Amino acid sequence: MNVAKRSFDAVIVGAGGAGLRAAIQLSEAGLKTAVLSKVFPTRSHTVAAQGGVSASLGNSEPDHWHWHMYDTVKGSDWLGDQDAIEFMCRQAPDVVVELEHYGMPFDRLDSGKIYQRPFGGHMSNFGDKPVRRACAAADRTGHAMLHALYQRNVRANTQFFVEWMALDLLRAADGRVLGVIAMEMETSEITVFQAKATLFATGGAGRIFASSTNAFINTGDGLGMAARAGIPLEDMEFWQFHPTGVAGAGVLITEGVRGEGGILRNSSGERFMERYAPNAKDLASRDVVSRAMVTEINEGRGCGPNKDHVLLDITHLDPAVIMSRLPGIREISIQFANVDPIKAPIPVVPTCHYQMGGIPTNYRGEVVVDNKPVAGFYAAGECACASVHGANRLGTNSLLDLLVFGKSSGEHMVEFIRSEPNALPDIPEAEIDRSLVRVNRLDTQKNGANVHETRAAMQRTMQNHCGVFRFKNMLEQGAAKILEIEQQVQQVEIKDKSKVWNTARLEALEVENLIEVAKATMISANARTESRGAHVRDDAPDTPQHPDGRDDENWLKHTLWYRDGNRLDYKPVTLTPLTVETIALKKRAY
Amino acid sequence: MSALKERVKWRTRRGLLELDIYFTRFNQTQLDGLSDSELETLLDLLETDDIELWNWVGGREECPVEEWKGLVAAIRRS
Repeated sequence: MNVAKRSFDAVIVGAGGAGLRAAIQLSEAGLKTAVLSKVFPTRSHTVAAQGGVSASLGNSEPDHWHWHMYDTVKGSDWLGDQDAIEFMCRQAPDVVVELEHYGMPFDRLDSGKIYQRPFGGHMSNFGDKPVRRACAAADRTGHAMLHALYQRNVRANTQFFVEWMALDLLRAADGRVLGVIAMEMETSEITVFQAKATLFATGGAGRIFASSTNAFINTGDGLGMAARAGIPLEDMEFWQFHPTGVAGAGVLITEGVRGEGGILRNSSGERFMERYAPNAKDLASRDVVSRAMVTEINEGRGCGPNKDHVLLDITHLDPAVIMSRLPGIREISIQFANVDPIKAPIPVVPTCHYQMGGIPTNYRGEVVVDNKPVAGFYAAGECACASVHGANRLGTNSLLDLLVFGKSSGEHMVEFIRSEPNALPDIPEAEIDRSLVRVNRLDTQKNGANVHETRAAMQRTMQNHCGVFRFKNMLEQGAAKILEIEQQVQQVEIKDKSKVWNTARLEALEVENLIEVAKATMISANARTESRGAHVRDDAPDTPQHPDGRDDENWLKHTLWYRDGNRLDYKPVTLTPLTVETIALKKRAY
Repeated sequence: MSALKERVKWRTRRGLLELDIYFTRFNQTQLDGLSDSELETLLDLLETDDIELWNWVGGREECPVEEWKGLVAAIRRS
C-alpha cells in the first residue's frame, strides 16, 4: 500500500515537558525537527505538575548536588542507576537556570534569586535535615514550564503536528529505528515520518489502573509502540500511589485533610488506622495508610455496594473549619463523589499517580537493549527509565527528569544526526504493513468486544490484582486475567468506521497501547518476590534478614519485560556513579 | 455524529483529570443538544489553558468572557 512519506532530521513523539525540551536542542542546532502530539502542546499532562522542580541552587541555605543525589538514590530504594542519578543532580542547576532564561516565571526571593521551598525527601548533608531545594512558579509550575518551552520552540521553528497520533515505531532489519508511522486525527490519514533519529516522550500510562490521577491522554502510546517493535520495558512493576483519591474518579484529596483531623473508616464505621498505626493513626506515612486501606477492602470491610473503597470522614469537624481550611476539598468532594463532606464521609481509594519504569535508556537518552544503544532511538520523561527513580520517585524529581533527559537526549540526537549520511535508508514495506494491518483490522472486525468495557475490565484487574499492596495469589490470578483481556483487546470492535475525527478509533488504538503496559506491569510484579519502594508484597514482609521485605541478594536488579512470549530478563543496577563513590546500600528509613 | 461535534469531543481531552471528568459528563448529557454555533463557541472556549479553565469550571474564578459564561456554567452543572 502507498503511504505518504515526510522526512525530517528528527521526529519527536509527545509534546509535554520532555519532548519540548528535546526539540529546543534539535531545532536550535538548525535541524529539521517534527513534534507529533495528540493534543495541543500546552495541554499535555505536564500541566498537572504543581509542586516544583528540584535543583541544589542553594539560594536559601547551603545545598549540594551530591546531597540531592543521595536523597534520590535513597528514595529509589537503591534501584536507581547511580550514574544517571549523578548526571541528573549535577545538571539540575543548569537546566533550571536555562529555563529561567527561557522566560519561566519562577517565584523569587527579595534578592531576585529563585525562591526554593522544602519538599518531602529532600535533605541536606546526606539525609541530615530538610533542605529548601524545590523551585516553583506558584502552584502552576508544570503549566508555566510548558509555556516557556513551547514559546522557545516556536522561536526555533520546530514543526508541530498537533492532533496526530503515532501508531508504530519503524525499524530496519538490523534494528535501527527509522521513524514512526502516524495518523492525522482529523482525516484518519496515515503518514510515515522518516527521520535519522526518533525520540519518544509520550508520558506515563497511569490509565491502566481504575483509580488514577492521570489525565485520559496518558495511555502509554510510546510504551505500546516500543513493546510491539521488540523493545523491552524496564521496571514496570513500580508505580507510585497516593492513598486518598476520590473513589471512581481518581481526583486527589490532599493529605492536609487528615492533618486537619480527617479519619478513615471501614464499612462498620471503625477507625481502622488505630489497629495499623496506634500512634500516628490516620497520619501515618502514605504507604502505611495505603496498605491498611487495601487490607480492609480485601478482608471484606470495604464500603459501598461493591465494598471497594473506604471512607474519609470529616463530618465531626466544625463546618466553619472545613469551609475556611479545606474549601477546595469540599468542592472536589461534591463535584467528584457527589458527597458534601460536611454531611457525609468521602469515598476514597489508593490511586495511581506516577510510573517509575519505562523504555530502558542510559543518561544520554539512548534506548538501550542488550547493553547496546538502539541506533536512532531515544526516550525521555515518564515514558523512559534512565533509571533515576528506581523503585520510588522523590517529589519534584519528575519535572527535573524531563528537563535533564529531554535536553540530554536532544544533545545526543544532534550528535548522532550529524554523524549520519544525508540519505535516509529505505523503510522495509513489511514494517509499514505491520502497522497498517493493525489499524485496518478496526475497519473489518465483526462481533468484537466493546472498547470501553474492555478498557474498564483491564483497569479493574490492574487495580484489584496489582494495586498499591500486592498478594501472591492475586498477582498469579491477575496475570492469567490480563492475558485473557489481551485476547479481547485484539478483537475490539468499533461501530463508527468514519474517517473524520473518529474518536472511537483513537480510543481503540489507545487500548492496544494500554494493554501492553498492563501486561508488563502485572507480569513483572508477579515475578518480583521481594518488596522494594512502591512494589510492596504481602509475602515479602519486614524481617531482620530483609528489612521492609527488600531482598538485595536476589533482587537488586532491573526487570526487563519483552512482549514476545511475555519473557522476563534482568540486568544489574548501576551502582557506580560517574565521578563519586557509590552510595552504599542501607535500609531506606526516614 | 457531525465532524464538528467529534472535533469538540477530542478537544475536551485535557491535561488535567478534573477537566476530563467534567467534560465526559458534559459530552454524555449535553453535547447533542448544542447548535453548530454553540459548538463553535465551545471550540473557542477550549483554546483556554487548562489551569484557567479549571479555575472557572471549579468555581474559583469567574470566566471573564461574556459569551463563554453560559457554557462554563453548563459544564459546571454537568
